[in-house]
Amino acid sequence: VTEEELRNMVLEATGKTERELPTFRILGLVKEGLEVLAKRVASQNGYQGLQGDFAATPVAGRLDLDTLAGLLFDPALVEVRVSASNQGITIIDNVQTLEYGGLATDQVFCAREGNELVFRQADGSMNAYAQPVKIKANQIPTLATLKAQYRGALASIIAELAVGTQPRPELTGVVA
Amino acid sequence: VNSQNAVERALRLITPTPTEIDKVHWRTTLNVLINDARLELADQIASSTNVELRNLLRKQFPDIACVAGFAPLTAALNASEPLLLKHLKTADIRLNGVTRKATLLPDESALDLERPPGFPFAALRGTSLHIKNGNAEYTGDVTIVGSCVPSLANIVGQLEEPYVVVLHSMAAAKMPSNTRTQAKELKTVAAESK
Repeated sequence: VTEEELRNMVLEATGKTERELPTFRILGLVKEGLEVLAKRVASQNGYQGLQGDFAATPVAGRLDLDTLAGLLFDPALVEVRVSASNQGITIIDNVQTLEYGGLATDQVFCAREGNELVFRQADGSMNAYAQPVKIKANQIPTLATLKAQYRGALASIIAELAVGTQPRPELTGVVA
Repeated sequence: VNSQNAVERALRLITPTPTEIDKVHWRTTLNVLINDARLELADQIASSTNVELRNLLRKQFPDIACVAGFAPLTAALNASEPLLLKHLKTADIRLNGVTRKATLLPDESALDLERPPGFPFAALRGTSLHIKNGNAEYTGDVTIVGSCVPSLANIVGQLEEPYVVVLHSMAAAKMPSNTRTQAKELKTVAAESK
């Protein structure tokens, strides 16, 4: 969607004129609007609509999730795979369990620790995994990459933000 | 079967269908129990009255050297598909150069009873077999055919589903269920109302 198209949609949604709601105000809310949209979609049944693949390579068994721009990491919604083989990597709910020796040795496991993803190699060793992985996860889109079916939703969210309606925390995940 | 396949199949048995976040917790629990479930399956199969089923999880272990009456079972117990010690009484224990199979005695002291040569007896002492042929301490190779704990990769097709069911039931016993939670709440309410 172009900025002009978005501006027109927001003005229509709010019922305001360009004087009442200037373009710079609308464009200033685009980033926040995209974030809110991404979080709303991620919290709903159709969360797959805004999922994308992130390619990354862990270093010494760790991957800094902050380096993946636009990633919304929710362990319940993401899929992590070994890039080369497409073999799934099972997400364990805590790092302590990842270190448990009784886990199977026929697959790679990972667990989230802070802003990092910690990997356990198939042979059970920690701090060693360094193969490229792909993470299918919800992402914050850009205006240029926003799918057509979400344009109206984005305009609506920006309108909501612009006219001062409180964002709904249960939908956005963000407490005002 | 591989571990991911087994876990995902076990997840399918959960009712009601768990939420996505609950699945993460279930997967963790199922993966933690993946080896315990192998042991449980082996125990259940070895306890079965169906000899054909039992034979699916029996194998011949590499020969064990018995010296001066003692054959350490350490290698068989630490193998990737270890000997199921609990069911040693159903194992065939054969001694090199002796025609008859060894009879496993439940009590090591019974080994000292007077016995004719050619009739081998054995008893467990810790993780070693104490073996006597007649009244002499046996020295030579020992061959054991007994129940084993299968590796995941070697769980044969017809045992895959029983394994998945065992895995699921072990995990279900550890995970909080709606039914159990409600029952607990009812008990709490009942206790508080007294």
